[in-house]
Amino acid sequence: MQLTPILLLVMVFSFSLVQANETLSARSIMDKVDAQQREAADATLSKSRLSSCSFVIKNRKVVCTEAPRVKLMESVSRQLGPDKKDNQTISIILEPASERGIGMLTYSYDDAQKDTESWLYLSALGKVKRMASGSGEDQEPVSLFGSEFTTEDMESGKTDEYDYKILQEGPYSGNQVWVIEATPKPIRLKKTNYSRLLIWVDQTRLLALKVQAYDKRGALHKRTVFKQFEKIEETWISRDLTVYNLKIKRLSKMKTEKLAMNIDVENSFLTQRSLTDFAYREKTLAALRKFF
Amino acid sequence: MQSVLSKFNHFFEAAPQRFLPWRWSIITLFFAISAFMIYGMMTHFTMDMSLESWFQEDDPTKLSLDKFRSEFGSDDGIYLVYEASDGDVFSEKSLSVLRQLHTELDNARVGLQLDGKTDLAIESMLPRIERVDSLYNARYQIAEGDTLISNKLIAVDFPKTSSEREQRRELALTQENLELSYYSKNFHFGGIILKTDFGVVPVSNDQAIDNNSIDLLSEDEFEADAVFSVDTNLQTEKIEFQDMQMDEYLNFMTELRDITGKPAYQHFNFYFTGNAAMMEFALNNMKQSAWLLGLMVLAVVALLWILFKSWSAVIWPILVIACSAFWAIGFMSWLGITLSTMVSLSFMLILAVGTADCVHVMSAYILYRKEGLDHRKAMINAYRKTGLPIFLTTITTMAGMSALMISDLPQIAIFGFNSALGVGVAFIFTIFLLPVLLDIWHPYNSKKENKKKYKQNGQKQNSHKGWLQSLLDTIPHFVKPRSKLIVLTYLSIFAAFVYGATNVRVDTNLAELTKEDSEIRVTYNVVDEQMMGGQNLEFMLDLGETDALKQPLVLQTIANLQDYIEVTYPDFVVKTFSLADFVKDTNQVMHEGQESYKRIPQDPRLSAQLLYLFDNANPRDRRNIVNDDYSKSHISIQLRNKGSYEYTQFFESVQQDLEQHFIPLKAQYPDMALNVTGGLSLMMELIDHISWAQIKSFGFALTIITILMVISLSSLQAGLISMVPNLLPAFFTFGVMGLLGIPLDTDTLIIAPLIIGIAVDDTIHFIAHYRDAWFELGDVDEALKSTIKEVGQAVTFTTLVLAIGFSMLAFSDYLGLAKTGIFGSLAIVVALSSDLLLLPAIIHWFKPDLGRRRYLAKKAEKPTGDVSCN
Repeated sequence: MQLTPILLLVMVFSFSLVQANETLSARSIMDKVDAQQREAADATLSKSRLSSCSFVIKNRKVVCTEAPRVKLMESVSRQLGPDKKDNQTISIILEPASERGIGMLTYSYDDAQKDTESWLYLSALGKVKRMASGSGEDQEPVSLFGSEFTTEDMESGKTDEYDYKILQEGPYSGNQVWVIEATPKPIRLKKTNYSRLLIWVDQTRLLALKVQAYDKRGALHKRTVFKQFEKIEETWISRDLTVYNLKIKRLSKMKTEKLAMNIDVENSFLTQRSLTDFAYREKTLAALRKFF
Repeated sequence: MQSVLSKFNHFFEAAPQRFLPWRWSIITLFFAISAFMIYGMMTHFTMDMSLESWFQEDDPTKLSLDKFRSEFGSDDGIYLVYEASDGDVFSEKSLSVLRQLHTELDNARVGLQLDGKTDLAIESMLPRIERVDSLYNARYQIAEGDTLISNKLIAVDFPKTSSEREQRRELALTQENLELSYYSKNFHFGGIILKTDFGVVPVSNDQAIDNNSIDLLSEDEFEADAVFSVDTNLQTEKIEFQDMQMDEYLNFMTELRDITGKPAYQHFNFYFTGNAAMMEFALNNMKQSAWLLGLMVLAVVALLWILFKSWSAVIWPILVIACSAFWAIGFMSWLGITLSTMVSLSFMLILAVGTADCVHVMSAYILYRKEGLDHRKAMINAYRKTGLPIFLTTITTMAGMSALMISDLPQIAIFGFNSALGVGVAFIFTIFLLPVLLDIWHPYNSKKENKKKYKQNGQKQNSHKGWLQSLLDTIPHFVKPRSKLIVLTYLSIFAAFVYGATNVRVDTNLAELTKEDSEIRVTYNVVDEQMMGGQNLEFMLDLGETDALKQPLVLQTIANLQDYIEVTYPDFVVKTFSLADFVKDTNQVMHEGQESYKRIPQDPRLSAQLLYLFDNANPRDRRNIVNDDYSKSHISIQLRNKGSYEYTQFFESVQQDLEQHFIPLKAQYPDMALNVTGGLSLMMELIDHISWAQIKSFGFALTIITILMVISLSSLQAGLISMVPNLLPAFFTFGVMGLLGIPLDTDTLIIAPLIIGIAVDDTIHFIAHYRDAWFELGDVDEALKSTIKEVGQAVTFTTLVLAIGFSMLAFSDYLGLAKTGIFGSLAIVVALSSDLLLLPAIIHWFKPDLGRRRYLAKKAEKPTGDVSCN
């Protein structure tokens, strides 16, 4: 069971870039949007709130029909390796109470031959377990904390696996955008739940404003909407993204409540010790939280 | 009443005369309306072949299945069992063939072609597979020291050596959930589960397809606010799903068989189970029965020709029957009523009743011609003799069929209406159209006949009339001295049949309704004995409270119920699956694989944290088992194939077990709702429901027919006497089945009204004729002689035609239909014997007055009046 670094969720498709002054091909736009992801995930501390609920549309407004289920977590991540393409992330669950203290540590590598390593700590059990779950084509999209977000919705670095096409260009909710269609190539096809994606990319900031995913029958399945953009350390990020599963009328909202970038994380923090040693972890995190 | 009937009689007598001047107008009108109806049939005919179409919209069983599907996805998949020809699914050959097959199915799922191109053709049904699961991609979970390994058994890490393969076999053996699902205990068989989206495609989905034309820069249909309001009073809209049609199942199976039939997979012998395989079987049967129905028509044609030796006697009845069917179906089509496969039964009924109507008229007509009357006179006499009985048989059959309209199953009600309509139309054609047609071209050629007579020099009558008529002539002589013996013999046989009928088991076992070596029967044997069973049932659990299913107490209750069900019903249950299994397995793995930890933990925090792992699984897989807020889940129960009788009892029993086990939780979860559901329970409920609905409406029809007989014969005595030969064929069928231990299945029950309809026809003709003769002659012997002479031939003709026609169905591979053919034709013969032997014997013995005294008194009052009944 692999956990995608929490911060990546927030950053996907939402990165600053040099001005897009020339006519870019769909693929190169997406490459540039995607390429910023790794930079932004380097040395970051964040506190995120993930709320999910069933919803209805009433007078064009979204209304939850139940009290949202909330998960609160804190994550630290950094990029490593020659091109900063490898990632290490640790996430600790703060809420709900029954899951408090569950921790997940993940090392993922750009090298496809190298399996992702992850360790899980269940606080109710007090033990760390190394999780081995295969890799490559054996991986399937999984849910993030039981929310509507899946690893697939949040993935980056997979631009090779899609064909891109600009469908339309023009103003969209106050921004000049490209609407780019991403169609999975055969290599992607079996791993995906979608037949195609549409991405609304802001031309000036080169970040996604909206992503729509279509199911195998071509019907709209999910819509992800990005809000609350902020430029931190030369990087545009969205601190509020919501995925609407239109098939089953359920949404999940990921809100980055607190964020600190370019923090100084010691190497020893992203190890198993942080999962089990509560005192050590709290001490280190307390120091890092000052950067919020 | 008497005068009403005699008015009818006059009307029918005069009908041929009255309508002849208008014959061209009648024919034109007939063809115009027929064309209109055929046009309606061709343009507006709709047929719903889905299982759901049998239920009313608000049927609780259907609603609970809909609810289940909207919560947990489709339960309507395919379980493909394969038998390795080398007897080991873990052999090198078997694993590599499985790899190829699994990959091909997985490619077909995403529309990936062999040349690497994708083609998600809408016409193809295979992309409706959502998941392919087999040994190839089955995930195992084990603990190795502090490492928790959760990998696919084969997949990319394909075992190359024999020791590697043995290691996978050992691994598979440690995983309880893989056994019987993906491999049999002796490793001869393997299983591939194809999960589909059958029955869970939202109705509105089609509108969403191809929205390329929409301006992508336009605003969304709702605003994505940063903060949402919460209103727990609002209900999420109910999602409606598209019903699966039978041809969709058939297409799916055809495409699937195209794959498994490839030479590359010859190493495997395949067995298909699941609804799709069942529907494929049913549809193929229907195609075969369409052929048999054609054969039935051919048999009728051949017999009509043999009996009447005239093409007009063949073509006119067939025209009447065909057009009655066109009108009935065309009318329904114009009304926009969706028909079901039962329309073929309506056709059978129209065929039977229409044939009987025409044969009676033509038989009487020929009889009068032979007596020397000319064409017009013979027509008038024929209609005078047969018009009223035909009218009465029509009314009784229509009443019997209309009785089905009280059914709460829409398809049965529509079938009743359509059949009643067809029978009514056939009557109208017989009375108004047939005389006109017979006037143009009629069966009896007097010149030819005279020539024949001349040849035979009056010594001998022609051969077919000879044997039948002389046989009929012996009946009165045979019956007269033995009337009591005959009645008592019939009575004792009747008693035996009634006893037998009380022992008949109302039971439909779909697999056992096929021949011994049929594919479906072999499949169910294999899947039930070697693998996890071909049927499935679901317990739907709605605790009504968020996170309830994370509580150890609830999980323990589920686990206990599973254990109880597995131990208590070993004949039915092969395996059970639930969320509790996941928690138990994960608990064990988290405790270094120790067997003692294969249980639900006591600590609610631990059970919640074990489920946290589950939360992070593929959301669709998780949602297949538990809903988002952990208030609803289900227990899947894999079953062996049984008959509806056993299943129905089993379902009731487990429903009680389910409730019993959850009683202790009622205080904590007062809003708890528990249900037994699934496609199988829907099917079984349907079968059981149809059976009892048929039995009820059958009884109702009998009552209505009795009342109508009493009224129309204006004599309680006559009405009751006539019911004896009517009941005999029905009790004969049920009685023989009961005595021989043959279960009475839904299909046979559906046909029962047809049989009684035909039996009633003959009896009405007989009684009506006898009464007329009795009134006129006042002598039982003479009246019987004349009745047997005049009606006997027609009744024997119709019996021959219909019995041989129905017996064609005996050639069906499907016992449900074959039984109908055999018992149907036997019942028709029994009806004939009771009309020709029992009825005369009763009359001889009891000499019922049938209201003759009243008739004579009235006649004396008005010597010139119109009370005549003949």
